[in-house]
Amino acid sequence: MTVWAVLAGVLGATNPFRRRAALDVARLRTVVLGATAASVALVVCAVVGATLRDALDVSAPNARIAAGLVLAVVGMHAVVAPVGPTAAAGERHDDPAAWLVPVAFPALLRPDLALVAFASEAGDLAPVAAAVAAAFALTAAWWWRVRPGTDAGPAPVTAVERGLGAVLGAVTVVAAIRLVLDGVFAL
Amino acid sequence: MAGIGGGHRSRRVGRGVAAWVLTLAVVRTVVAQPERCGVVTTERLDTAIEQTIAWATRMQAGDGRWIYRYDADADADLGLYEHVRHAGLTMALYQAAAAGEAGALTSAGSGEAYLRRFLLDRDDWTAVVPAEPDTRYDIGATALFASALLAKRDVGPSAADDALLARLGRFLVANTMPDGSVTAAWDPLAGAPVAGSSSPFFTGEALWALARLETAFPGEWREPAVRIARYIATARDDAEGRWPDVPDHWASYAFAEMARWSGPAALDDDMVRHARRIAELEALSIRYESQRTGSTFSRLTRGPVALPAGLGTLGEALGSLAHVPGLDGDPAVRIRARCVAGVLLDRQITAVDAVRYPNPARVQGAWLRHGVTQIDDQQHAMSALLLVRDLQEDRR
Repeated sequence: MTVWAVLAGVLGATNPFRRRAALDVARLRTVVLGATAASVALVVCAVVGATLRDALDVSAPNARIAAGLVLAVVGMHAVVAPVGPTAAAGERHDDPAAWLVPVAFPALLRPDLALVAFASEAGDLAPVAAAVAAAFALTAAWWWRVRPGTDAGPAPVTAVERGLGAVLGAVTVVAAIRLVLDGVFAL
Repeated sequence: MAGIGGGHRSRRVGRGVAAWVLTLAVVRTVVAQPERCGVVTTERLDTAIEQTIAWATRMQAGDGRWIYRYDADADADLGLYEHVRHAGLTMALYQAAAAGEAGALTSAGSGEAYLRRFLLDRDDWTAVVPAEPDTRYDIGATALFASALLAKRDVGPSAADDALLARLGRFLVANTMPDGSVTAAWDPLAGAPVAGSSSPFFTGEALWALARLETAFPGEWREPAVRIARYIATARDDAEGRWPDVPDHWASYAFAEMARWSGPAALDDDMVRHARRIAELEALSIRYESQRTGSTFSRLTRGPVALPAGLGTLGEALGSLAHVPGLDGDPAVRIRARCVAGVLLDRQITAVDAVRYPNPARVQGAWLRHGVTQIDDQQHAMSALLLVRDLQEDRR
């Protein structure tokens, strides 16, 4: 897969600016733990991707096309659909399992990202792992940047954040087109 | 700090699970359908090739003509006859004979004998002409007849046809323009190539014949072959208004042949790039075709199954391109070629399938589409299987 498309596609699909509001937890540690768990899961998906594809009789190029098409839908959705907070106002997850739910799942471990990992071949593992690590690190960093100073619920989504989320959505669409073309013109 | 109730968490998990299930279900059902590449073994390939030869033998009349297009459901000869595809099947049978299938020789010889009745000598060339007088001479018929005689030479060395081969080659050269384009037909009334005519297939057929002539008789054929190859690689699709680009299996044969030439490398960067382009198009086609099953759902999402002839050309292209520099080290080309073979093996009419038809002997060993088969279905399918069998056994 084209490296920049993988990096941009993973970053765009992760979309920290859209994801932040769903990370309605109390502590950075929870976000980091959940992001780490999601990263590991996605890298595992990439490592076993070839075995899974063989079992499902799907070639790597066709998997790439599938991943690209789904990313295109995700990207377009990010451009046209505004993001809003998912928790009730004034509420945040504060239990020990919050790193798992909602951080790792369903906020970060998403089917579009899993499909990109699933489409990976041996030469793609490093870029996919790097992209996932960078995207989730950025997500955690953005969460930390925007966190409210009090115990009130997640900070409201601002127009700037919506705009940045839409821009990343557009980036996702471009990356998705590249991934589809990678798959179409692969051997 | 307020905590969030289990109900809210459950709803989020539920939505997350639903998103996963829905996404993966849609992807699997609509986009990433299984690519059914069958099981390809040497035994299955051997059997399929033998069955095709047996079909050709049964479908051939005493004068060497085949039932050109046959409706299996109605047990009806649909008429039609043209020499390009007759030459093509003759060529494929000689390919099989050269690969060790001695049973193909008789049918190939009869096919050759039939076409010899339609050879016309003029000036320094000879052409295969149509049965109808004063109709244009398809370049492809002469090109494939030349390729058939060259394949016959592979069965057993013989100089018997050397002079004829040279004359056939000169006819092809006479129809090759300075820019490398090849006219589709010769006008016997005008005594000249039909200006501006072109065929998506005849150009590659001519190139392949000339490339093989150069291998067999180095010297006279190299320049026109390279000229045509360069035209195909750099100009043909735009010049002839062909979109999408022609995934030219005949040119693929030719590129592989040119890679075998002794002396300086004949394939330049443009040709190697073009070869790769063809491989990409063919690989895309088989990845798509292997998802087709003919079921109602498959027809809705993937369309009807391809013509067997078309499917065979995918295998011919990929099986040939596996020997072209730049592609010969890429396992993906061989994997896709094997996939073509697997799909062909699964779709060939077996003895068990054949009993459903009014005349089983006329369908066993053939490939059908909508109940109809044409001689080039078996030609291209068998040629593809032969090439894949060679790849399996690393014969080349």
